[in-house]
Parts: sequence; C-alpha cells; structure tokens
Amino acid sequence: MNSGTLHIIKLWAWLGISSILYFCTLLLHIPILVTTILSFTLGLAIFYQKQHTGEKHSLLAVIIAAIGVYLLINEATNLAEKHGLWDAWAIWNLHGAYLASPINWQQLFNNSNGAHPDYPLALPSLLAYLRYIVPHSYYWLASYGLHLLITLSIPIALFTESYKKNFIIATIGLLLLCTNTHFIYIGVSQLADILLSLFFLLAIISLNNAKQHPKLILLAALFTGLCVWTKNEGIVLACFIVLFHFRQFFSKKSLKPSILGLTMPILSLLLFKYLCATPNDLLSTERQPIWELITTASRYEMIYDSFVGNLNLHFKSIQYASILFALLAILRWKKLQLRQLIMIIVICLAMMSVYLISPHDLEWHLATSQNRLILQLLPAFVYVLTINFAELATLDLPKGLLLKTEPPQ
Amino acid sequence: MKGYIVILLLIASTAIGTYLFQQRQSSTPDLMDNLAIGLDSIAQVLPQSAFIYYDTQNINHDIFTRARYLLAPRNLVISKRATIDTLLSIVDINYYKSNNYTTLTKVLIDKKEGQYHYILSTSK
Repeated sequence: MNSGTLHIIKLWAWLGISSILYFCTLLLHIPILVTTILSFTLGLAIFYQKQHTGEKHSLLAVIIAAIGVYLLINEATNLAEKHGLWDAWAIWNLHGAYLASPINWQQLFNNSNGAHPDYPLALPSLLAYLRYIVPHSYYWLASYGLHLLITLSIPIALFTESYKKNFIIATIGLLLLCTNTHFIYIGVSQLADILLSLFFLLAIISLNNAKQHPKLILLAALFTGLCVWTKNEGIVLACFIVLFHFRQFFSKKSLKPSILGLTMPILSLLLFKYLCATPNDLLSTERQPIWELITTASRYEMIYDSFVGNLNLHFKSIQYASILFALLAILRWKKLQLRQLIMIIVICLAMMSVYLISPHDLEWHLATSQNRLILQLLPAFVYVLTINFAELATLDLPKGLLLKTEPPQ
Repeated sequence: MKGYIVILLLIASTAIGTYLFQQRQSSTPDLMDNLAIGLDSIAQVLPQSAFIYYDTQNINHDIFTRARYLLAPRNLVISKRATIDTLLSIVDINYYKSNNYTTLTKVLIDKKEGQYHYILSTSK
C-alpha cells in the first residue's frame, strides 16, 4: 500500500474514533479536556507506528495530485454556499451546535420538526469539537474547512492508491472526481453524504490491501463501522461490505481485529439509538400497506427515470467511463476483480428499493435525496473502475488501447 | 508518495481553500448573517436551556429552521396559535422580512405555571 494512502487512512481512522470519543464524553459526563488528551494520545499512537513501504518518491505524482487539488479548490470556492445547503443548517450543523453544549446537548432530541434527531453523530461530533477550537464568528468557516478536507481526501486517496498500478489511469480517476461539479458541490455543502462516501471508499481500499498488510483488516472493519456511525444509509453499506467480504472479515486470522474494529462504532450507534434518538421518519411515518407500494409499477418507473436523469445531469463523464469499461471488460471479464463492482451495484439497487416503500411523496423524496445517494457510492465506484482499468491495461489488449505506464521517478 | 507529503498537501490545501472561501464570502452577508444579527441579542439574554415558541400561522419554514440553528442549543418549538395566544405575543415573520431581519431583538417572558417561556417578538 502506498504510504500516502496509509496516512489518509490513519488520519480518518483517528478523526472517526475521536467523534466516538466525543459522544462518550457527552454520555458519560467526562470533561472535554480528558477526551482531548485521550484523542491526541491515540493520534500519536496511530501516526507514530513504523512502516516499511520501501517506496520511491515520485515528484510527478505530487505535481498531478496538486493539480487535482487546485482544480477542486477553485471549483469549490465558486460553488459553495456560505452556510451550506438546507440540510446543513437544518440537520448536520444544527446537531453539531447542540452537541457543543455538554449540559444541554440532549435538547436536540426535542426537535421533532424536520431536524431528524435520529441521524447518527459522526459528523456532528466532529463539528462540535471544532466549536471548542474556533471563535463563534467562524463556525461557518470551520464547517466548510472540515468538509473541504473530506472532499479533498477522496480523490487524493484514490490517486495515491492507484498510481503505482497505472499512472495514466490513476490520473484520469483523479481528474474524474476533481472536475465533477456535482461531487464538489455536494462535498462542500456541509452534508454528511461526503463523509459517508469517504469512509466507504477507505473501507474498500483497506480491504483490498489487507492481504499484504493484515493489520489493515482492523481499519477496514473500523471504517465499515464508521459508515454506520455517519448516516442511517451507512447501515445498508456496512451490511453489504460485510456480506461481500465475509471470509476476509471472519477468517480465523482476522476475526479478532474485525470484531474490534466493528464494535466501537456499532456500539456507539446502539447506545445512541437506545438512549437518545427518536424513531426514524421512514419507519415511523404512517404509509400505505407495503404490498400496495411495491406492486405499483409507476413507482418503479419514477425511480428509474429519476436515477437515469441524475446520472445524465451530474455524472456524465463517469457514465462514459463505465460504458468503456463494460466494453473492455467483455474481452477479459474472467481476469477482473468484479466482486466489489457487483457489491456497489447491489448496494445501489438496495438503496433505490428503499424509495419503493417511502412514506413520503415519492417525487419530492427522489428530488431531494437520490443524487446524494448516488454520490455516496461514486468515489468507491470510480476507485473500483480505476483499479480494474489498470488491471485491464496489464493484459494483452490491442496495443495503444490502454498503455501500461510506470510513474517517472 | 511519502505519507507526510500527502498529509501536508491535504492540510495546506484545506487551509488555502478555506482562506479563499472566507475572502469570497466575508463581504457578502446573506440571509443567515442578517438573521444572526437580529438573534444575537436574544441569544445573549436567554439561558441555553430555553424553549422558544414560534407561531404556526405566521410560520415561514425557512426562517424557522435558520433561527433554530442560530439559537441552538436552545429549543425553538413550533407551537399552535392557541398556545401562543395564551402566552404573550404573536410572531409575525413578515415583519422580519420587511425589516431585513435586523429588528428581532425583544424577548417577552411569561411566568405562567411557574415556567419561563420565551417568544420571539419584534421591537415594535
């Protein structure tokens, strides 16, 4: 594994655990200072672990990554709204504001009007932490900064992880994300979707490297758990990650680290749901009988049309890359690692099927959330495409179709 | 790529990106900023455990949601008109609209049933 990717993984493992620690602070009435000391000790322990990757430094890779970063920041600065989108102040930043009060934080759960107090607390906990550091008048900027860091971490993790396999394809993968307006816009709109997509991506990257570095199974399990701790949809993601990598997680060798990694975030979520949260609106709102909903053909049609519309509107370039991949994969499908691609498609179908039984007005529900659900899967999808394209490039395809390139030293 | 270079790249670019965003936004106060000016004096007076009632008839969902965010961790609660009437005043959200949201400064306190209730009101 590339040392750069490993550092991004470590950074987010540390921040993810810190969000759980912060929730424990509130729940157990521990002084914030104790939690901060614990968190920094943990951070030092994570970052000071020695590693021998023995890799050579590539200046060109740094330059390409910097170009990607420049493109993303430039677009983000123009696109972002000062206080984010509606959900930012109605849900995520609002929850962060409540959690920043160690005495009155539970007042959050009195909000029944559109504040979704049942949503998990990974992002609000980090935002609440930031409120201790940043002056009152800069809360809005701190939230933007955190989301910019999350958004930047995604393409950089993808690039550092794949450029050793094929430099050109990794660069295309990086640019696909760094030039996707919708990815950047949602990324810096201060919503939790981007954090969920980052954890999902890091879980997959960790799993792909766990054979060479067995310790990474602990981090893969942690990120899988952190998906659950970030958004309710994360439960669906985590279930399918575990299901599709069951042998990897629960073999004799990796059973203990897997359980350790999964336990902390899942236990936090259970505590949160049991002690604090109100019922989820999708589950508690009255609706037509489920059988009636799932046998209405027009609902399938609406979901499909909206899905295709979203792909056409926001993810055109990724659509082209997928079609190209599908064409090339027909030639050599037996030699490709399609398990994770299938997993993402199955997750996508599972997420879309939730709309079938939605108690809300379907048109409104699709318009307000489907594009963000697709975005949660997008970085992992681009990553899996990238490594499979790189794999294809190593096979004996027609010359010039895909070039096998090594990064210049 | 070396790990520390990647972390440096991320931190430096986040700092630069955040600075650029601040430069771009600081000169253009938006609806939230204007509302915050109006609510600031209320936020200073009210304890963090306050419940603030809002009238349902004159409610503007957008303003309600923004005000709830700005006043957190206090609770901003939508209340039925009847409940508001039994307290002290009616909140007219259109008033804030016509006054650029800057006059939302007065807090009325009611001691009914031994409890403090706070209602957002205008200074008129």
